[in-house]
Amino acid sequence: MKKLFIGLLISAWAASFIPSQAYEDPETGTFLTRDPAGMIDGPNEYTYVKQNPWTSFDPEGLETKQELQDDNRALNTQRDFYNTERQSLARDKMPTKKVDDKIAGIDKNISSNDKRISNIEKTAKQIVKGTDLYLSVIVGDDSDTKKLRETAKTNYDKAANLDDASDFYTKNKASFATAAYITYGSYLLSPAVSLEGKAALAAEETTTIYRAVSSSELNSINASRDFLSSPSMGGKYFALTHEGVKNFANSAFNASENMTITSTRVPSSFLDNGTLFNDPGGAGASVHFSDDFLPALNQVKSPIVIH
Amino acid sequence: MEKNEFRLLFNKALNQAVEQAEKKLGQTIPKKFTIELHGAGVSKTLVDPEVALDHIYLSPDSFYRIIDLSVIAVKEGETIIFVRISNHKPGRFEQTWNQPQGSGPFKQLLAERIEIA
Repeated sequence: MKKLFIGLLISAWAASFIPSQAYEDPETGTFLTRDPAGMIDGPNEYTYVKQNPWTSFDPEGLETKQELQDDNRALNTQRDFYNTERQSLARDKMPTKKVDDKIAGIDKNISSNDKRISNIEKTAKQIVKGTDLYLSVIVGDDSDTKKLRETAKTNYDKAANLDDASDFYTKNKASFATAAYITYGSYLLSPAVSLEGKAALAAEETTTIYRAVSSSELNSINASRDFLSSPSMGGKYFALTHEGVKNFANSAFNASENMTITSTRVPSSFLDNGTLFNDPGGAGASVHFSDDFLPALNQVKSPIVIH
Repeated sequence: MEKNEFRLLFNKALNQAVEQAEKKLGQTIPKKFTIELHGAGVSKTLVDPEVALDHIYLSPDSFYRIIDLSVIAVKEGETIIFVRISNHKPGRFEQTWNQPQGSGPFKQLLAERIEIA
């Protein structure tokens, strides 16, 4: 069976951002390239499994975890049978080589399945991170994009707090699928998304940083998609929590400033280039990047999200 | 507010930043200060407090509205204090941050890590 959509999602999240097997049209839910397996799932080679890839989870695009576990159970039963037969042959002092070969072959298959199960569990966790990244690259202020972002965020939040992503999939496949699907669909549809330079971002842990900006800085962001240096050259603060930036933006001191909250994601290690502060009277945990580090920040950040 | 009075306010803010840092570190630190200045056309430049004062003081009637301070390092017998001027449009003294009351534009931050060399 082929459940290529998740494989696609992983591939897209990986460094190349080039799907390994097939592109999917996010509007119709069908693949835009031919299923390399041919017609296993039906005569339409551009469909994925029964048009419902999310009822199973197979990051390798081959079999589900459940199928692999079922397969291993059957293999173990076979193994027990051949073991019994081997004992009988040995007791009668008959040659056992053929049975030994059978057992060795079964053990190899069990081991292979175990590795794939482990890979599925590992990839499930990667997908949570990947979806988080996709959330960060949905940009645009039109109502459709906003709706997509809100829905994706709602669904993603359900997944983000779980320690064990694979367990989450077992219990909430459909919900997470919606989040991943919508975020990825938005990702494909958004013309403003920049793919360049995001490989490093996808390859390591990231941190979301938030900045409340004035109307003039918002205009600058809309025009450049970057956090540009201001004439004062004072660098820029970013709050490390959404709550913190809201507190700062909504404080009485900034009441007349009409501030807008923005966010972006940076590799967590990039925070080492700034100075971390606690701002007890404002944004709480924050990082300050000096003016000379803003170009580097713009190189590694994900597209800016305007909240 | 005249510059001399503002200087006193600045020195008081610097000393408060040092007190906070000493509390965090659990040890005393040098009272000789070097300012790492950000803003007012200056990008991360080390200057003496008096030079910093020339940058952060505008006039008796116009003040930067928020000036952040925090001790960030102790090096070679000197305490390095981060000072950053906000991008808010300057205003009257009454329009400055002033929390707690009497602090004027000076706002205390606490660095997560204070480098001791």
